[in-house]
Amino acid sequence: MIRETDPTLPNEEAEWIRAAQSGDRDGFNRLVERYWDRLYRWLYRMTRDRHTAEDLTQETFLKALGAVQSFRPGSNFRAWVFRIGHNNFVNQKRSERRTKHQLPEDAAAPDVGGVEITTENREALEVIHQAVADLPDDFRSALLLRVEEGLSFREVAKILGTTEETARWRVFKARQKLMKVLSPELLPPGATAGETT
Amino acid sequence: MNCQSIQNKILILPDPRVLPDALRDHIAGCEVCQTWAKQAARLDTLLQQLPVPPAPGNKKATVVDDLTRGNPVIIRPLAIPARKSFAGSALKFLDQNKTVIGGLAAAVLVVLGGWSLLTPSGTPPVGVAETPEHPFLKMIVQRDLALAKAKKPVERLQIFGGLAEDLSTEARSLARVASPEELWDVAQWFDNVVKDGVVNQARNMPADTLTLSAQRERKTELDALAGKLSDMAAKTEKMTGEVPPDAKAALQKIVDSARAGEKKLREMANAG
Repeated sequence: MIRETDPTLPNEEAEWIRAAQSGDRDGFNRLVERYWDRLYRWLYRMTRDRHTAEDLTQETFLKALGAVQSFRPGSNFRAWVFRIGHNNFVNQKRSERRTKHQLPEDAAAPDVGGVEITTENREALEVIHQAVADLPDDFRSALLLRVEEGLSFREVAKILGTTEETARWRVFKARQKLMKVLSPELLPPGATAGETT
Repeated sequence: MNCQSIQNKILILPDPRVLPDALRDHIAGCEVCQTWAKQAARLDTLLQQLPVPPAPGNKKATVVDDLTRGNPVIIRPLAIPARKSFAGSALKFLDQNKTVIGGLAAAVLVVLGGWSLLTPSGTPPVGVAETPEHPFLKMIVQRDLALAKAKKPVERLQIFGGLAEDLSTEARSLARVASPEELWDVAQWFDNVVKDGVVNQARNMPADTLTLSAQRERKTELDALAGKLSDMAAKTEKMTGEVPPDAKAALQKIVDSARAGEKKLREMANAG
């Protein structure tokens, strides 16, 4: 299953941005509605703490509101907002200790277009959740931007303030680490190691 | 192509579930790489299924609500008590458009203003600064509180040095997103902290009034702080090549201020 990327409505979003830059709060409001949950999700993965992720998300949008005049129309607003979020995360890391959380028993199921999470998948998800949390920040941030957010390597690079090559490399290293750690969990349900298909 | 190479190429794809023809041909005839490809595909699928717990608060609704009702969406600036030196400037900043940077301005002024009003016994000024919900402002407030509690000149010097570091780091973080005017403000505050905080505090520690061991401590501190200023200058200078053109002037100001501060500290360290 390939996660559908947000259907691009460039004209609509461009209009919202124009409105926001003219001081129309409703325009900015629409941008918040579009990107808040996504940013929260990514920041949750980075911080592994719901409270911190929510705080950082709010801070990011407030900063974005304050700086919206400096946004260059025609460039990638999502990448711009995520970039601010990433900077906030980096700043926050410097000043606060991070606590790791186990996958909560009542964790909300994500919106994946109606895909059912089976018991086998749920067990694999718990292991993957921890393995992802154990990745270095650089690898984790790049991997999740690519896989969860569906961003191109170029967009990932912009958000993380690096080159496209480095973004691609980080995603590669993240996958490589996870493959090494998770190979039993990654076998399709019912399959055993060594089974050929 | 050998299997290791194929497997690496799968992992570096934008999406391992979408294989280009060149890889598919090999995989079709290789069971090991077939299994690898399936596992890589499943990994990405499972990553997309990782649950996310709901946000604990209601901050999205608050922000949206404020925007919809037309309320100013501000980060609440610190409550500034009347300060002899900086009250006027602080109020002026607060009266301006209250962006994040506006809040930062107030916070930095609190730190500098508070120091100038400490009683000889070190009692902090009356008045409570509310801690804002903003990590950087929180850091500034913590510096302010530490300054109020500091008993020794060298402690105050370290705090000012830390504040300078916070500001230069914040400037680098904001360089790509803040407006040139806002970034210039941060650069100006950095300059103020280095000149009025760091260098002035160092001047208040003349070597000839200290014991031998205190002199050694003083020199060590001045050298260490000079080193940190040098580091701030180098990191900021490196960034000037990576930011939009209208951000360069502010960053260059930070570089120049840091270098000037470093030079003065080293002179004082060596003179003592």
